[in-house]
Amino acid sequence: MKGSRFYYEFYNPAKVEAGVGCLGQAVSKLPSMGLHNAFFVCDRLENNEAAERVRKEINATGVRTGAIYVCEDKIVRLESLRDMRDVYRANNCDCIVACGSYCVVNAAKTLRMLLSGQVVRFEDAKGINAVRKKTNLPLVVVPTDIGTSNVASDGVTIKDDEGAVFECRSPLCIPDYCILDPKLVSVRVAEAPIAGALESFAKNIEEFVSRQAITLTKCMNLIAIREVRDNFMKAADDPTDEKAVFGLQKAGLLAGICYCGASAGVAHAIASALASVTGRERYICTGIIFAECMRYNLEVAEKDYVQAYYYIVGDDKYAATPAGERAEAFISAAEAMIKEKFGANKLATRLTDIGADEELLDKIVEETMKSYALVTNPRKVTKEDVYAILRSVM
Amino acid sequence: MSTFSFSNDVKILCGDHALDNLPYELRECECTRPLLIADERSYRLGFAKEVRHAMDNDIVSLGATYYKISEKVTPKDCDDVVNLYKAHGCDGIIALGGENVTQCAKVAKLMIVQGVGDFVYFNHKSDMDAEKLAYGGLPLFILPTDIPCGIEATDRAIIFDEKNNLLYNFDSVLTRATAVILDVRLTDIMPAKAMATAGLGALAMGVKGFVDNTANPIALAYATGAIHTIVNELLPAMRHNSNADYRIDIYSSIINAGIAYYAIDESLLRDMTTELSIKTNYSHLQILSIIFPVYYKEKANKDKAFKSVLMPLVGEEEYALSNARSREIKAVDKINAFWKSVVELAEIPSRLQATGVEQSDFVKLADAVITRYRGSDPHNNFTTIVKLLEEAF
Repeated sequence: MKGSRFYYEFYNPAKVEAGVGCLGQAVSKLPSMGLHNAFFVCDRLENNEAAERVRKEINATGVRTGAIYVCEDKIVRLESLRDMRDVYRANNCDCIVACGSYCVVNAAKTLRMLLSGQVVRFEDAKGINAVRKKTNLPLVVVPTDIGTSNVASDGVTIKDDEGAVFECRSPLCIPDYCILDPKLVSVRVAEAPIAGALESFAKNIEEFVSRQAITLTKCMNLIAIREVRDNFMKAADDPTDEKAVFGLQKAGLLAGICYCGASAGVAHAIASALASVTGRERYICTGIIFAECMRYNLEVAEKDYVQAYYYIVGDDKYAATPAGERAEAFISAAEAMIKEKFGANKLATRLTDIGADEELLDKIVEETMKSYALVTNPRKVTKEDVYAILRSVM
Repeated sequence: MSTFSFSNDVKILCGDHALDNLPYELRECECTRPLLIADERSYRLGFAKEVRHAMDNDIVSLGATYYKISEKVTPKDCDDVVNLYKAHGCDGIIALGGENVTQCAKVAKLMIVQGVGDFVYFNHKSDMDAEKLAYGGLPLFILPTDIPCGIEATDRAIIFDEKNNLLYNFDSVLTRATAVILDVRLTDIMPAKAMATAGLGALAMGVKGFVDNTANPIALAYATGAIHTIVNELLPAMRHNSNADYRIDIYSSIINAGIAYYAIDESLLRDMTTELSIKTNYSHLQILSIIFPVYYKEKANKDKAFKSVLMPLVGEEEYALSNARSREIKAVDKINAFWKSVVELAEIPSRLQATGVEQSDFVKLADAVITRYRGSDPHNNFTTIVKLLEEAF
């Protein structure tokens, strides 16, 4: 009989409008949200058709573009945030519209948190719920890449003036409105679908096995894993396949929503630390360490892996795999999926491929142990564990 | 390729000591003088006292209290709450109780935000479905002490004016709660019959929310979670009704099922349930618990999404081993078998006849349902409704 009581909170205030060609319908609702003079953040201006289109559609509804800010930081810097704040204020903007890649979305989310909390010293935002809301400032996010796992999440990472990276978690980071239109996705490099899918997939699995997972977040993540299964290969083979791109965007969206409640785990923590120390894209880092992290959690997450296995292989293969082998088979299937596409695109698969040698390990481990994601990992993570995971993919 | 939209920013706080977070949540909304409204039952059982104890009186204190919400909420209840709110300079509402308190609080919030002083205003207005985002809107905290009805975390509210025989169906973000707080301390042992009825009603909402939301992965997840929990925990919750964990799980799954169910724009099932509920004085969930096996038997053959509903009903193992061609049949069989076991264990009404409806009412009922229905499915016609009513009778 049940007996162990527990407590949970679930909250995600993001309103979502999603679908192929939904942009026009979605932006028509902006004036009723109280938007007048938008601070428009994007990742470049030249040949950025998506940003131009979004801006025009928004302006057509009567919402002005008070200022345009190009943010090209891989991890948003405090210096950029100060610039953004000054431009925002100088132009009397009253809302933020972010249209661009993962990094642009992160920058806009961070700016919204800081401005709506009227934070003076941006370093003070570090940590969980360190900023209290003082003013309303609508944030609209229109991602133009497949990696949408940060779109509806409450987490951001910031690079301080010394180059150190720190995390902030706050409901103020969650946008009011997310518009997902795969027609806006511009795939500039062949590895883009892999990047997007991998970021989502890793989060989906870690959130699924998280200590804080609840039935609702587990269901969301299983639906997301199925979307990745159905669309990853298709989008990787043909990045213009709008249906496949939309499927991956949905998986990312679900990962972001669940991140607020379930958070992530050891792979997220190590990948973030690796990206920070080596300066490489986080999805590359995730690709290198993810399977090892799944193996690391196997002893405590076996039951969950068995369940998730169905969603990654479907009826026949699931039924044909002996029950006792499904958890291992899940890891192998996920690893094979990643490796196939990483290999085909000549992406790094070992730490040494990205310049992370023995000398950097201490720094990477130190950064990893600072991550909040370790708290929700199903297995208690020690420094020695992180060294072992890293050395196994050296 | 389908598009979807989803919006639900209601915070769910669930489980042990959830109530202790109320002062923090109130402060976050800058609410320092909330009005506490409750029904007599919640007052009598000491739940209002629990809320008072939980309040952080240094910063937040109750602006006023009102414990007289009618068992069947009336327009006058809404007017009374609005007047009290204004008279005491309150800046938020805490709704403690059952469906009646929830409905009243939601409508009162809408009235206050829209500056409506008298419910009569709604007699001939179309503002009831006003759609605007209420930034910094009036904080509303719903604390169910009875079995939830499914509308707690939605934009819906229904008030039936018995005196004038008028139904007010609100669908507006302005009725939306800031948070729903489910704390075991605010719940009492629930008779198995009541749990069975509500659980089956929630299963009906979950299944409907599942098959009609296949393009919306967020609503689909709410429905999946609700179905899974009800199928696995309703019978134990009825057998061990003093176990608060089962109780809270079922309550939260009703709220989740409601989110999925009310994410659907139009639903014949919902319209039928509303009309039958008015006619019989049975609750929405009670009616659903009676008519849904018949409804799904009719719908399963026409709806491909019914194949996938088998997954949350039986789990991955059984689903993977089932015949892919007949999953919709198996889903209906599973629903019926589960329904039968719950009905038999709790000895609850299983036919419409038990509600006092008579066959001679069917034409009038079907007429009212078809007038209310705004969907475009041609199968949802007068004949179908009469047929469903006859089968459920």
